[in-house]
Amino acid sequence: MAENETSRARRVFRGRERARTRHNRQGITMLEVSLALTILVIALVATTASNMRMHSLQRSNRDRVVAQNAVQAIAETVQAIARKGVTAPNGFGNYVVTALAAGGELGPAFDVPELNPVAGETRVGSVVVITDETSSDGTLGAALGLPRDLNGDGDALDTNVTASAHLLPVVITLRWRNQAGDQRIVHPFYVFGY
Amino acid sequence: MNTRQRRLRAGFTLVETAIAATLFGVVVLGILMVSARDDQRSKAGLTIGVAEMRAQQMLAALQEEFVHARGAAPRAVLTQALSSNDTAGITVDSTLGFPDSGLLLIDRGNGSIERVRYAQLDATRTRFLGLTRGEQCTTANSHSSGADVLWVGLAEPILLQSSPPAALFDGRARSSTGPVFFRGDGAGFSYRVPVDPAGGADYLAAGNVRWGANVAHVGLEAGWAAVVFVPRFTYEESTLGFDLNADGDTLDVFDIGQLQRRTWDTSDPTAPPSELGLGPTVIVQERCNWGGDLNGDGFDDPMFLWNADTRRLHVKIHVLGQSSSNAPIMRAVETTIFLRNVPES
Repeated sequence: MAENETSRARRVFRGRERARTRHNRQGITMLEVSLALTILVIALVATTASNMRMHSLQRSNRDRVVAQNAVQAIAETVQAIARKGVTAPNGFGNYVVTALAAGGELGPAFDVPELNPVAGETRVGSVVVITDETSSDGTLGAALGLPRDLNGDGDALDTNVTASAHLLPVVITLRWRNQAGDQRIVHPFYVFGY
Repeated sequence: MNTRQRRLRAGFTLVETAIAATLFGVVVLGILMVSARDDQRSKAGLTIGVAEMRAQQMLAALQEEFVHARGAAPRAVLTQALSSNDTAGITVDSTLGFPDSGLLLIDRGNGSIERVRYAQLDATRTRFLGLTRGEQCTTANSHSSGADVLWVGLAEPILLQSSPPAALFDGRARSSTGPVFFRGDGAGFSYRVPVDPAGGADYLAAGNVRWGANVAHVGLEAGWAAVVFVPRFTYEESTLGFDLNADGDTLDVFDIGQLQRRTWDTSDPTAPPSELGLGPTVIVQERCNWGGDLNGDGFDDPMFLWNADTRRLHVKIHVLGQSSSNAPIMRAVETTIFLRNVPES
């Protein structure tokens, strides 16, 4: 009885040993290799995609810095024009409006080297001077606190204060296209005629 | 042993092993190559990004410094003739606004043009002392009384902007209002700021602003300030084999330097000036052609273009970084600053 159990146990052990040996000799199947390679390729593609995205973001950031510097430069130029307008013979408002009109010192539109205009536009930036007191922030798409009394006559009803303005709202808009799509910066501010 | 058992015991054949190893090797090699390239690009992006960020910070610092300043246009006239071998001094009508040491541009626009380095001003405010003649690829010349003397930091628009003769201007730059003919090199900017000698924030005396500069942390009404380009090392296209300014050759030599703010006491030229570096040493200027075209767009690139009439100071800084292929790359940051106060007369 005891001998039979021992023999059975030996047989079972030998069977398991043979199976392990067979398994060890079997190596890796092509399926396993394919799976491993697939995982590696997926990891590679993910890493590359992530890096490409990162570079695209870097480029976008660079464009935005260029755009912000351009807006800053144009805003300062408008401030300088407004300062000259204070003592202009034709008045502050007329001077600023003329300088920002087509053919004026700055003009109504400008280019920014390194930035590409959006589809359908030829220039990247625009400068708009508001001479209508009744304009609203909603229609302009800029937070300027309009309607507002711009010529100091006690109301905000005049539709053209060019000849009498003491302060003028100006909106600089920059629209450009890059890998991330169409981009936009709006910079509203006031210039003062005193 | 039957066929099935033989196959199970056999594992990989040599061919299968070779194919698997080849596939694995190709993929691993690809991963390594892509990783190496991405790593290089990331490092390059970081290098350029950091350089740009610092240049941007420099612009912001300059804007903060200049916006309440009074800009100056340091120019003078020789009141005594200068011989070609004189190294003692140059006598002019006034040295006010010229930094305590620096470079002069004499007789620009004619065949006698010369850049002269001076080491010191004198207390009478009419002489530059300690001369080094024929600097920046010019030769020592004699100059007659009445000759123009400019500080090389100055670049200013000329009056005649429509088809001016070549002798009138040194370059043509692009500004926010269009192309501008200018004279000078534009490697710096001279100015004064409101000061309080007591160290506080009371800048008024009898209703007038006290103009000067902080020298060694003391507000001096006799103080003056300037931001100047200080070259630190050289970049030679021929050595590195790269056309940095995209002009079609690899013959150019560039100065790589730093912007530095200097303040000095105009009443005591022997007092040591205060110096402060305004950013990293990554700013590029072409040697012997400061203010020249750096990006191949056909326009010159003075760092500081000062229009005293409109009080607009155009600042454009080219910084050096490293591209993904380890090649140097230049990036420019620029802005315009409207100086709110009346310029120096």
